[in-house]
Amino acid sequence: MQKPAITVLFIFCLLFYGGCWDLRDIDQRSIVLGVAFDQTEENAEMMMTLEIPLLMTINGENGANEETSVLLSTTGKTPAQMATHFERRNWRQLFFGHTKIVLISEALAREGIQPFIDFFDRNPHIDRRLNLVIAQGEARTVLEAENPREPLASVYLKNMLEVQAKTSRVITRNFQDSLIRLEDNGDAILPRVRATETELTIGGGALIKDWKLIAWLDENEARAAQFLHNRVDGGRMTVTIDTMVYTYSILTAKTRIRPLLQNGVLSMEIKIESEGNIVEVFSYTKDHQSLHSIKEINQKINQLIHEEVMHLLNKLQYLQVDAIGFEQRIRRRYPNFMRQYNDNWSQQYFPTLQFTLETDFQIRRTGILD
Amino acid sequence: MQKKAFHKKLVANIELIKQELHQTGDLIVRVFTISFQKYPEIKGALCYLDGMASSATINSEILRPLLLDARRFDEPPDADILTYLSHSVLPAGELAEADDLESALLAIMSGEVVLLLDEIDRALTVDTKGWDRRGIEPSQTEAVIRGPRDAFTESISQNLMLVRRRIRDPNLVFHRMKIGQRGRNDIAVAYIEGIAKPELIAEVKNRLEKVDMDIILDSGYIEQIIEDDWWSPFNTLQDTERPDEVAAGLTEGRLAIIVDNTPFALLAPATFNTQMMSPEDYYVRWPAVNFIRIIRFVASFVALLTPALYIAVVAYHPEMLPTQLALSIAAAREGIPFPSFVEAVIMELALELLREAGLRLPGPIGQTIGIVGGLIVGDAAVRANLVSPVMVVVVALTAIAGFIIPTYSLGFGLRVTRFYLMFMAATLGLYGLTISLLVLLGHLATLTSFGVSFLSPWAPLNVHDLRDSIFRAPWHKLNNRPSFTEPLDQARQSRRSKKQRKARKR
Repeated sequence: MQKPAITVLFIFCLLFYGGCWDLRDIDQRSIVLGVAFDQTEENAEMMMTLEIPLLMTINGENGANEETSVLLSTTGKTPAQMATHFERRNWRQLFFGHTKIVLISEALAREGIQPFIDFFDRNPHIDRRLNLVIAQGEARTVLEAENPREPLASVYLKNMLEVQAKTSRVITRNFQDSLIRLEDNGDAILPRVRATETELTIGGGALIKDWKLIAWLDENEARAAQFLHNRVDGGRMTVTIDTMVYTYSILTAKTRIRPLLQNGVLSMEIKIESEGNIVEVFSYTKDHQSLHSIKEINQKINQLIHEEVMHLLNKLQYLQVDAIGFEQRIRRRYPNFMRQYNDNWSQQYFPTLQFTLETDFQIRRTGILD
Repeated sequence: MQKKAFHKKLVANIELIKQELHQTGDLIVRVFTISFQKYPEIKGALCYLDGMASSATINSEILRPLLLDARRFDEPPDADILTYLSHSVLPAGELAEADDLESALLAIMSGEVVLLLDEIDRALTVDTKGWDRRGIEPSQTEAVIRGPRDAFTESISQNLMLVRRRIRDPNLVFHRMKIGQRGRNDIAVAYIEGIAKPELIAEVKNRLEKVDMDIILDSGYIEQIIEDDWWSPFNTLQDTERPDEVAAGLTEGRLAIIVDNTPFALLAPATFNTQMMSPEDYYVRWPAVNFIRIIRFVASFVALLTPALYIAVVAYHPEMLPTQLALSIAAAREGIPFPSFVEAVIMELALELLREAGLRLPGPIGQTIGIVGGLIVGDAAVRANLVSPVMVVVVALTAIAGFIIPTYSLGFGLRVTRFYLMFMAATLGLYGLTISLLVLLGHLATLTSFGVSFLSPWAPLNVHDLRDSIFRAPWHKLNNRPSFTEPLDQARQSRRSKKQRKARKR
C-alpha cells in the first residue's frame, strides 16, 4: 500500500515543479485592445501606441465622463523592442489576447507591413480574428477619436467593421484571412480607416503588393473586391434609368472563380450570382407612372456590377497585384502550366490574363405596395 | 464456546441472569406464582428491560393470563408445563423457547420478556418490544413534490412494513441477520426471489456475514465495510430513506439492506446513474422528466467544474473569455490582494463552512446563519475587496448546482472532487483541468458496485439501459427491467402491441 502513496506524492511534487510558470491572473495583465503603429519624425524609429482600458472606471461607477482607457505611446526600432519599453514602465505584463485591432499608418505601410505582422503572428495568445487595418493618415489619431457610444475606440472600430460588413463597402478580412493571402504572394487587400477630427470612416481598402501599400481602393472598388473575395453579405446598389432611381438590396451573393485552360490559352471564369429586393424607387420628376420592368432593372444592375468588377480587375492588372489569389487557383488546377512562370507571374502573365465575367443578379421581391 | 445452560432452580436462574447482566439497573425481575385449579403452584419470574418492553403488553398478555386466567384451566396434561403455557395459555403472537442462556439474554436485550419457571431448565421468550418510536414522517433529504411522502424511521419492523406494503409479492424476502458482537443489531436483506440474481444475493449475504464490527449504529457502517472500493470519494452503495425508492430498486433486481436504528437503507448495486435519479422522475410525465434530468446532469458538471474553470481561465487563459467579460472580470478583480486560486479556495471553504454550520445549528438559528453568511459576509467581503463579485457568482452557482444532485452522498463526492480539480486548474491551467478530468473519468470507470461498473450504462455501453439514464423513456418503452442487475425475470410489463395502443386511443 505504500508504493501507490509514494507515486502519488511524486506526481504532486512534479506539479509544483513544472506548474504555474505562466500563471498570471487576469488583473495582473495589461489587456491591450488596440495597437497603432506610426512613423516618427526621425525615420529610423517608429511609434507604437497601445489602447489599454482603465479597469478602475470600466464598470462605469464613477460617471460616464471619466476616461475608460489610456493611450500609451513609445518609440523604438521594432515592435518587440517597443513592447519591452512598455513593460519596463508598467508592472503589468502586456497581454495581446484581446487585441481587436492593429492599425498601421499609411507611411509605414508604404515601407512594408511584414515586421508588424510577424510580431503578432508569433504570439500564441492573439485572437486571430483581430483586424489588421491600414490607416489613411496617422494611426494614432484613429484610436484618439472620441465615440460617445462606445468609449473604447478599438472595440468601437471592431464592431464597426463587423456592422459595416453588411454594406459590403468595407473589406472584411481578418488577421488570419489576410495572413493566408499575404503568405502566398505578399499581395492582399486590407481594410482602410480614416480619422478626422470628429469621426472615424471605415470603408474602402488598401492594396498591398509585396507586403507594401501601393494604392487605395475607394468604396465601390472595395465592394468589387468583396465580390471577388466572395464575402458580400448585404449592401445596396443604386441604378438610374431615365429619371427613375432604383435601389437594389442584396440578400445573397455568391462568387465562383474558376481558371480554364483551353488550347493553351488561360482565362479566368468569374461568375457572380445574387438575389435581392427592390427597397426604393425614387423619381426626380415625382412621376411614378413610367416604372421600368424588372428585366430592365436587372439588366442595369448586372451592367453596373460588371463595370465595377471589371474596373477593379483592370486596376489590379495594371498595378500587377494579384491580391485575389488568381495565381494560387491556377496553380492548384493546372500545376504543370504554372511551372513555366516561376517568379515572374505577376509581371509577365497576370497583366494579360483573360477574364470572363458573368453576373447574374436577380430581383426577387419588390416590396409591399398597396 | 460452550453455551451456558439454565439451572433447575428458579432462584439460581434469576441469579444467573442478574450476574450475566452485571446487576444492570434497568433489568426488572417480576416474581410471581401461578396457581392452577388442580395442580400445585408453580413459581415463576419475568425478566425484561425497563423501557424496552411494553409494560402494557406484559400486563395484558402475560401476567393476566398467568395469574388470573390460569386458575380457570384444568391441570395441564402430561405435556411439559412450558409447552402447555405457550400453546394454550399465553395469547402473545411471538413466542419462542430458549434452551440456553445466550438466546435468553439476547431476547432480553431486544426488548422481549423471558419467562422462567421453577424446576424447568428452559425459558420462554415472549415478544413484547414496545419502546417509544418516532412516527412516520416525510423524507428530509429526498423530498419530492409528486409522490409518496412517507420515509423510513429508526424502527426496522416499521421499515420492513413500509416496503412490504408496496410489494405484496410472496417472493419478497427479508433475510434477517444480527450483526455486531456487542450491538447485536438487526439488519434485513430484502430482495425479490425470482428477480434478483442469486449470485448477487449470495454475495451480499456473504459480505454481510463477514462483517465483524462490535456495533452497527447506522447503515453507513455496513456501507463502508462491504463496499468494493474503500478509497474512492464516491459511494458505490446508494443510501435512501424512501421506501418507494427501495421498492423500485427491489423490482429492478437490486438488493436493499435495511438496518435497525436508522432511517437510511442501502441499495446495491448502485451506479452513478442510479444516484442521479429521484423517485419523482418516474411519477412525473416523461417530457418534463427529460428536461429536469438534462438540467440535473448539467448541474453536476457545473457543481464540479465552475470554480476550477474560473481559475484556469482567469489565471491562464483570459483570451478565451469574450472581451467585455474579460474586462469586467479584470475590473472586478482589480485591487483583490489574492491570486484567483486563493480567492476561489477562500470562497469555496466559506461555502462549506456555511453549509456545515447551518447543519449543526438548531433550525431557526441555522436560517439566520444562512442569511448572515450568505448575504452579509458575502457582501462585506466584496466591499472589503477580499473577493471579487464574479467569484461570489461562481460560488453561488456551484452551491445551487450542488444541491440539485438528488443523492446526498454523491453530492458529497462531487464536493470533495471539486477541490482536487481546483488545485489542478491552479497549477496547470486548462491543461491540468483536462488531465484531472481524465484521471477522474478513469477512476470512475474502475469503480464497481458488486461487480457492476459504476459508469454503467455509459461505460461499458449498455444500450438497453440508456433509455433510463440521461433520458427516461415513456413507460410503454420501458417494458423490461434495467439489465445492469441481470434480473432473472426481465419483463416489467408485457409488451403492448401497436394495435392495442391504437385501440385505446380511440
